[in-house]
Amino acid sequence: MHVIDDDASWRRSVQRLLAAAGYRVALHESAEAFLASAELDAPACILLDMRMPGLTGLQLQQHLLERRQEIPIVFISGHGDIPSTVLAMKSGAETFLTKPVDTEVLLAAIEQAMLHSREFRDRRGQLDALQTRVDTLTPTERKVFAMVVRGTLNKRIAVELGTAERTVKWHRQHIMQKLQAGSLAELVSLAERLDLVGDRDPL
Amino acid sequence: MVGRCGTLRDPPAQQLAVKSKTSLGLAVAFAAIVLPSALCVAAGNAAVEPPREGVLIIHSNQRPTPGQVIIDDGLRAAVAQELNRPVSLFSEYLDAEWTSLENYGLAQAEFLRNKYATRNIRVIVTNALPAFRYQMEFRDRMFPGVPVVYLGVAADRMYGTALPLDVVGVLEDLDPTSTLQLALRLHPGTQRVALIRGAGELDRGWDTRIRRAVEQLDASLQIEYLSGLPTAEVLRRVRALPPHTVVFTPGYFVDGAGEISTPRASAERIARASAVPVYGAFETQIGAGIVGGYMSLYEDEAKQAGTMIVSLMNGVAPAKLETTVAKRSTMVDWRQIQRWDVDEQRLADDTVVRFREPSTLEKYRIQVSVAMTVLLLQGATIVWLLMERRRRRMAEAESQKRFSEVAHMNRRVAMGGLTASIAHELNQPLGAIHNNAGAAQLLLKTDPSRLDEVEEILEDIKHDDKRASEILARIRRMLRKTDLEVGALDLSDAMRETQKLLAYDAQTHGVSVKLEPERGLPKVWADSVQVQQVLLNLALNSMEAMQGQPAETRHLTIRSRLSNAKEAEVSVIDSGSGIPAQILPQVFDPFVTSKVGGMGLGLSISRTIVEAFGGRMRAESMPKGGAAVHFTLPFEPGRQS
Repeated sequence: MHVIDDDASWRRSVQRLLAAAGYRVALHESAEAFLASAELDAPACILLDMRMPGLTGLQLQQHLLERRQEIPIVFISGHGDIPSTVLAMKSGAETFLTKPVDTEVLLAAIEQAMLHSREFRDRRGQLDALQTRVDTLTPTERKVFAMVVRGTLNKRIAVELGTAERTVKWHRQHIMQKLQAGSLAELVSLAERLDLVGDRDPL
Repeated sequence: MVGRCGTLRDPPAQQLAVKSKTSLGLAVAFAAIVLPSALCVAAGNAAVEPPREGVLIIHSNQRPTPGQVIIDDGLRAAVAQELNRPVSLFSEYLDAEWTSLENYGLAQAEFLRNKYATRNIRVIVTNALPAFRYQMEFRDRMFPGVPVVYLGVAADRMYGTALPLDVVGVLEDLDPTSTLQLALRLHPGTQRVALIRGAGELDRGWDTRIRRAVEQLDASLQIEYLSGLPTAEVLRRVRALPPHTVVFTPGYFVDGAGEISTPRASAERIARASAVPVYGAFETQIGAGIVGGYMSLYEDEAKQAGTMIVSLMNGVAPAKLETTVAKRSTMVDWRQIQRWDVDEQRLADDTVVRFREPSTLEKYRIQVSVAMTVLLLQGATIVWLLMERRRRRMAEAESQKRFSEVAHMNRRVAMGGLTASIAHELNQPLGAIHNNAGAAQLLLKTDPSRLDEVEEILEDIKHDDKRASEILARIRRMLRKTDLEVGALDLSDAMRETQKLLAYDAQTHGVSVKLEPERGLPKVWADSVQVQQVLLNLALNSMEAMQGQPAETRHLTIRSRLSNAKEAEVSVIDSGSGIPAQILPQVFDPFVTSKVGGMGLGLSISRTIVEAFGGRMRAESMPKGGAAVHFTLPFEPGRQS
């Protein structure tokens, strides 16, 4: 649990509360300090002050989004104004709290954020495993895989690759084996989860 | 025509005489021409008005006798006032004290007849008995048929006297009874009365009157007559008079030694010598040392006689005029009243009091009234000035109250703009307190043994609570509507407080606020809330001025330094766009602003505050950009750098 706030007294009080609630708490007096020191391997979330000298809470949120750091952020502010609240929520903030915050509300928000963090982490773990399997495909198998999940017929693939239809079928069997997919449907679902179906060229 | 004839009457007559010698024919010829002229001359002479009408006043005594002077003046005044045509009044004095009319009355009558033959005497006035007698004896020789008006004659002398119809007049009542009663009333306890008369004919006439008056007095009184004595003897006797005596004297014209005097002069000598109060018979003796008496009023007598003269001159028949008596009145000399210690209450209300020492107010009436007027005006001016001062003070108080309200409004507006900052700042400690309390609850629930940690938490809660209180106090100080509390103020404290108030807002606006207080600066003499208000106004202005520029260039500096031996100077300097040149001269005027939506009151109020503490405020655009507002504040009295 990362707490980023410029008010020392507030940081200490949150640390006490969260520690009592069983979290491991890391305190940072600014966004810059957080970025410099934080290890983001374990499931974690950020309790982030909106306004701080230097990088503000919203700026840090944008920064993490750009880096695809999926870490739930609970915003907290001494005096929230509507425009910045809206902006924070649009950018995927977990929730938005104002000081002083009720203990139960704070703990509930953090618990929720932690849950999300774990889910992010699990999903990312699964995706990572899938990606590892995708990575074992040969370049030709990747091309075939991309065309298969987009619903291209074997005959068409063979024409595209300048090879025989039988060779394509053989590639498909290897792909199914390597990606541990039992059916075409499973293969498509896998590709979707890895976000390989759209315009993006995963290969 | 008559006038012209008159002017020609002499020369033609002369001519006629001359010509008659030369030629009868010529004379005849001339006569034909001149005769009418000569006739004209004769007619002219007859037509010429007689000389102005005359009135001859014959006084009995020598000229300076005081009574005569008053009578003479009174007659002239009365006639001149009542007769509406010019008249000549002549006065003659018979000096009856020392002349014998038996011897030379006839010669005098001749003399007077000749003297006044051409004076068209219409009325003869005689003053006092000798003149009256003289006139009665010689009138046929002097002014036959001219009516006579007499005055100054004692009534008792006229009783039984048959007068011609054309002789009328004013009598004097000389009865001394009232005078003696007055003396006895004013001097209670009087046992003796001394009565003094002279040796002249008129003087001797008093015997009858005095005797009659004495008869009416209390028989127990001792009466002493000092009659016909030489003055020296009279004076010797009056000097020796025992107490409880009063003196009465009509004065005299001639004393026992044949020495001539006047009633006034003789009474004066007697009064001066006397050991006891002296009373007199004539108005003229008042002021000569006598206490007073019941006296005929000469002015009234003259006035009555004057009226008679005028009536006669206006053709009223003498027989139609009635004999009158001069008015009498009790008269006293105030100085004698004082001298003889007479009880003022004993004086009748109608008493004529002469020579009353005027009181200071009476004596200096004009000066006193001028002084009183001046005093009143001064008083009125003072009252007016006091009222003006009060009104001015009230107006000043009112104006101060108004400004105080405006200043308060300005603080409220400024603080209103800082609401977000205030809420944020206040919520930090409140949030921390809440967290700490929650942590403590959790700790106690899970592991009640960790009391040392709970104690730590409570310590932090107390700390944050204090922090919150301080913030609130700071806000309340700014929002409170209080009277000025001028006192010694550390400028760096005021600057720090302002920075705290501004901190969050500055952060929001991306402005860095830097304080540069000069070390060792003496305290200034001002109200801390208002000085913070000034700093806040200036800083908020600056922060707004810098909104349009990149965040990293927004700098605000609040600096204090020594201005001179008596003052400190505080400057609020920003890195904004500066003050537009066209509004720089009026930047402190109300409602002058370069801000959109600004009232333009902040700077105006700030300057008024600074000036109220005896400081000055000026603004300038900095050469390298940005604006600076400087103001001075005087050091604490007695503390100079």
